[in-house]
Amino acid sequence: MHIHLDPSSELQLYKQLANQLIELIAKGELKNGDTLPSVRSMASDLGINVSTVSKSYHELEEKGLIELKPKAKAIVIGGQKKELKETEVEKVENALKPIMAEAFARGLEKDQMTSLFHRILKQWK
Amino acid sequence: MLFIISIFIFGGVLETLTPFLSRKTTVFGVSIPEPYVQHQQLQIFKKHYSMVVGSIAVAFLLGQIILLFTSIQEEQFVLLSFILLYVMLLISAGLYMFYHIKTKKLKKQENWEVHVKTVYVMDLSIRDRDEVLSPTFFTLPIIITLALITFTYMNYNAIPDVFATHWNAAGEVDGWTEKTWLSVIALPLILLGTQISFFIMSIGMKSAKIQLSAQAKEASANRELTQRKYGSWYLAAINYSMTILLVVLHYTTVILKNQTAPYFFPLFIVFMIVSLGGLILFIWKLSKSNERFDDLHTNETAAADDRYWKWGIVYINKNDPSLLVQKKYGVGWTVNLANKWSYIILLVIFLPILLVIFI
Repeated sequence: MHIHLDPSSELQLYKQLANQLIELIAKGELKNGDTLPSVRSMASDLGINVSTVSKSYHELEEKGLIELKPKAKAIVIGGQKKELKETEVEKVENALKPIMAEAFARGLEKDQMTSLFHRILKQWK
Repeated sequence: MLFIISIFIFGGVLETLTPFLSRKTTVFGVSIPEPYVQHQQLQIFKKHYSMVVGSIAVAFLLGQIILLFTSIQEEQFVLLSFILLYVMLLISAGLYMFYHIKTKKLKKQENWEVHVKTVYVMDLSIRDRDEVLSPTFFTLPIIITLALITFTYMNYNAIPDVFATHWNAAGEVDGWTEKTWLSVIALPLILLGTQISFFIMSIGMKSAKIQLSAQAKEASANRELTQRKYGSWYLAAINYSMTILLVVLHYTTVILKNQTAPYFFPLFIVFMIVSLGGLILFIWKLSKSNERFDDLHTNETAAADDRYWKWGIVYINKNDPSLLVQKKYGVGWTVNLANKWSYIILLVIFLPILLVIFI
C-alpha cells in the first residue's frame, strides 16, 4: 500500500494523495473499518506539510469515504457494496460527463471509450 | 587497565565503521539522491575516512599496549587512555567535517539535484508492522524509583548520619555524604530524571518519521523497522539494567547500611556489558538490514531534508511535528530542536552530569 506523490505533476499534492487513497479503497486494499494513519504521522512519513494531508482527509470525508473524529484516527467507511442514492449517482454522472465529452471531442471512438472503461473497472474487480 | 583498553578498542572500531553504518542515501551527513548512491567518489571518501581513523586508532592502541609493559601507574594510564580516546574522537569529528564539505561540493558540482526527480513516498501499512516498544514499558522503572523514594522517606530515621556515595576502582569508599532530606534521595532523583527522559524518548521514537526510499521501498522499510525495534529494545535494556544497578546500590548503602557489598562491582560489570554489548548487537542487526541499491532503474529519489540540518548534525524543522529523528550520520536518534520538548530532554540528560561534577 504505497503512496507516491510527485511534486512536479500539475495535480496538486493534496489531490494526488486523495486520489491514491480513493484508488486503494476501490481496489479493496483499504477496507471498510480500516484506520488511516493520523494526519501528523502521515505528514511526517511523507515529509510534506500537515495541512496538505489534512486537506486530503477532509476531501475524503466530504466524499463520504472516511470518517474523521476529533482526537481519533480516520476510519475508512467506503468500499462496501450498497445502493447509492439517486442524487449520488447523478453526482458521479455529472463528474464523468465532461471528461467523456472531452475525450469524444478529441476524437476517441465510442468503442475505444467502452473498452477503456472496462479496463479501468477490471482493476477494482 | 584491560577494561579501559577494551573501551578504547570499542570506540575505535565504532568510529572507523561509522560511515558504513549510516543509510546509503546519506554520506557524511549529506543526502545523496538515490541514482547516485553507487557513485565511485562517495565510496572513496568513505574508505579514506575509515583508513585514516582506523590507522590513528591502531597507532594509539599500540602506544597503550607498549605502555602496559612499562612501570606506569594505573591512574596515569587510565587518564592517558581517556585523553587518547578524546583526541581520536576529535580527529574523527574534524575528518567528518572535512568530508561533509567535500561531499556537499561534489553534489553541487555535478548538479545531482537537477538530474533527479524528487517524489514523496510512504507505505500506509508500515505502522502496523512497527515493533517499537510502547511507552508503557518505560513507565515501570519510574514507578519502581518513586516507590524507592517513598520507602527511603518511610525509613528516614533509621538512615545513618553519613553514608557512602563514592567508590574508587578497588571498590573502597572514598566519598561520604551527610544525611539531609535531599541528599538521601539524590541518587534516586538522578535515576528518576534519566528514566523520565527515556520515557519521553520512547514516545518520540514511536511517532518519529519512517523514511522510505523511492527505489528500494521494501529494503528501506526493512531497515527502518529494524532500527526502530532494536533501538527501542536497547533503550529499554539500558533503562532496566541502570534501574537495577542504582536501586540495589541505594537500597544497600542507605537502607541496609552496608557500604561495600561484594555484589556492587559485578553488578556494575553487568551494566557495562549490557550497554556495550547491546550496542554491538544493535549495530550488527542494523548493518545486516542496510538497504542495497542494486537495481536502480529510474531517476526518482525520495525527498531530502538537507535544508533542515546544520552540518548534517543538528536538526531544526518547524514543519515536522516529531520530537526525534534518525541521525543523518551514524546510528541512533537526535532531537528536533524546533520542538520545545527537545530542550526538556537535553536538560534532563545533562542536569545529573552537571550536578555530579559541581556538587
